[in-house]
Amino acid sequence: MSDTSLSQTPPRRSIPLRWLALILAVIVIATLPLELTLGFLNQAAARLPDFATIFLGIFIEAAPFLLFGTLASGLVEVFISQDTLARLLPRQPALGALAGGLLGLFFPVCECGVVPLTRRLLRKGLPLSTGIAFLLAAPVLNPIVILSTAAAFGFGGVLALRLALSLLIAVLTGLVFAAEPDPVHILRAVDTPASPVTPLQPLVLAQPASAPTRLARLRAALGIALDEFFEMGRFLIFGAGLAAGMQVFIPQAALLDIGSGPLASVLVMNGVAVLLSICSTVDAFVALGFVGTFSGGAILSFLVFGPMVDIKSVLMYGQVFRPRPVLYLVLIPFLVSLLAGLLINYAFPGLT
Amino acid sequence: MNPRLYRVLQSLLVAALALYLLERLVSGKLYWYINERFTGLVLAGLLGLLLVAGNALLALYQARREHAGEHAHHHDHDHVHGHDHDHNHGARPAPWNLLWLALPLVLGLLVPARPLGSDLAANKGVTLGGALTGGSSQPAQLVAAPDERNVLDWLRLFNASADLTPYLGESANVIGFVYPDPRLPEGYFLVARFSVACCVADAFAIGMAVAWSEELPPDQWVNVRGPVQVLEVDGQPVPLILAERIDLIAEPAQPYIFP
Repeated sequence: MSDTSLSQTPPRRSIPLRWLALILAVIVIATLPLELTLGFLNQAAARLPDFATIFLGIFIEAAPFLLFGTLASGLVEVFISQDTLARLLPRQPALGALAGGLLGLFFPVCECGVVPLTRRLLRKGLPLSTGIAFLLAAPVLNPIVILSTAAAFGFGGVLALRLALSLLIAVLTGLVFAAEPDPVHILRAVDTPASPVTPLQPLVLAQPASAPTRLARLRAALGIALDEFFEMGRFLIFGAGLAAGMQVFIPQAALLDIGSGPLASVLVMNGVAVLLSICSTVDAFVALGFVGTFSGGAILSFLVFGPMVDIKSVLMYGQVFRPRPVLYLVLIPFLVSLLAGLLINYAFPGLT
Repeated sequence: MNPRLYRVLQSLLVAALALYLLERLVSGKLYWYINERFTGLVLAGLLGLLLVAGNALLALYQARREHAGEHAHHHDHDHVHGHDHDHNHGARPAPWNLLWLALPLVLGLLVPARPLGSDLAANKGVTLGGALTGGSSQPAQLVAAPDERNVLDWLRLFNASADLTPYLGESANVIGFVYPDPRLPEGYFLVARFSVACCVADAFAIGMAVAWSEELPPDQWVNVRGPVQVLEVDGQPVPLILAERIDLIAEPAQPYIFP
């Protein structure tokens, strides 16, 4: 039976991004006294061209990568058979976790695409350690992110550390989950037997076995790309707006003290990573904008923690997994990236 | 929202973004936003966008033609009908997404494009020396002739050399915008440029001090000529030009330095 049926009840949607933006705006306005707010609005008007320039700069740089990511995701969805995949992978937990972590190199998906994909794979019998490691590592260990990180930071220490740390966290977390043998206890029960259509994974195609033509499949991939570009693009735009706003309206001096403290900077950047919720395919460019202000360890932590845990991915985890696994999925990356950021600040102070 | 309308709007928005990028690229203004080395990337990106948009519009057109013969009416589903067609099944129209993606287009078209200037330099601070971060900041080859060096070249030289005496007295010939840095005493201003490694989000302002008694308005572009000396600013040795001649010039078409 083809997977094209819609679930009868509309799938639970994640909290709309526009609410987040609204809440943010309300907080900003409410915490500033009136004269400041008016002054701010005045300033805002004067600074709008600079804001627009920086915002557009991030967007223009990032949009091609975002598009390539969605195209890759579409191709993966259309051309890869999930059964073959599950059969090819090792069952032993440690190897499985490692394999899962490296799988992203062949599956270029953004963090948005990886959650529904992982769920689908887990239901098809993919071992848990592999699936979880894939979930956490794929957003970073894939060709597109490697390229975009290299474009921003060059083929050097930052890239190497980003990849190594992400793999480490993914494998560690995968092993922790290997202690739970049955995926049933991890996944949330869902209403419909067929893969439900979530707002972020719009297209569910007929299985390749029913053999539509290659052209039809390619065109289906383009269709997926279109929807995913919009789904993920809004997070890029929200993040770019926030980053541009920070650059234009917050004097850098105010951030420098926080930015250079070895622990505080890492904490703040982790917080920024969660807030910005940018797609991993393009977060390197936004990170670059923070380089002058924040320590190297903080930047690395942003690049490692962000793709694993941010507002949109936690919301998605919540749709797929039960609460306790979600907690692990958040805590383990947080602690390890924090530790790593600290260590980097002490061991490699001149990294960025 | 009618799913077909949603699809049409999606496609048009994507096509419009692609055309906007094309216009920026052709006019050269693209490089007010990103480094020139990404031209190929942007080109590939906009071609991809056109491909995606074109595919969707084509699918819509094909669906319309087939449906004209088959249905007498449409069911009130919230997904687009599909048979062998390759447009999305099960996708729910998300009108808010249209607004989000329209934002860059709106900002790009309505806000007059303007390269970064002293406003942002004031916010981000101007780097006068020390570590010059950003992108591939490998030391550039020494530009031999002193009067062909730009502000970045001078700063790199000063940064890389323990002994500055060979450079003192050399004659500098640089352009940049006037930036009255609060760290400088009276009678001095900075001739500044923005260095962009990837895109303007990582842009940082760099500058050389200029000794000149006349006060010049910030953001005014100037061509400064004169011998180079050293000035101590906040305990740092900073290149200083004892300006012998300052010409007011128009802002160049490409104001940024791409390291």
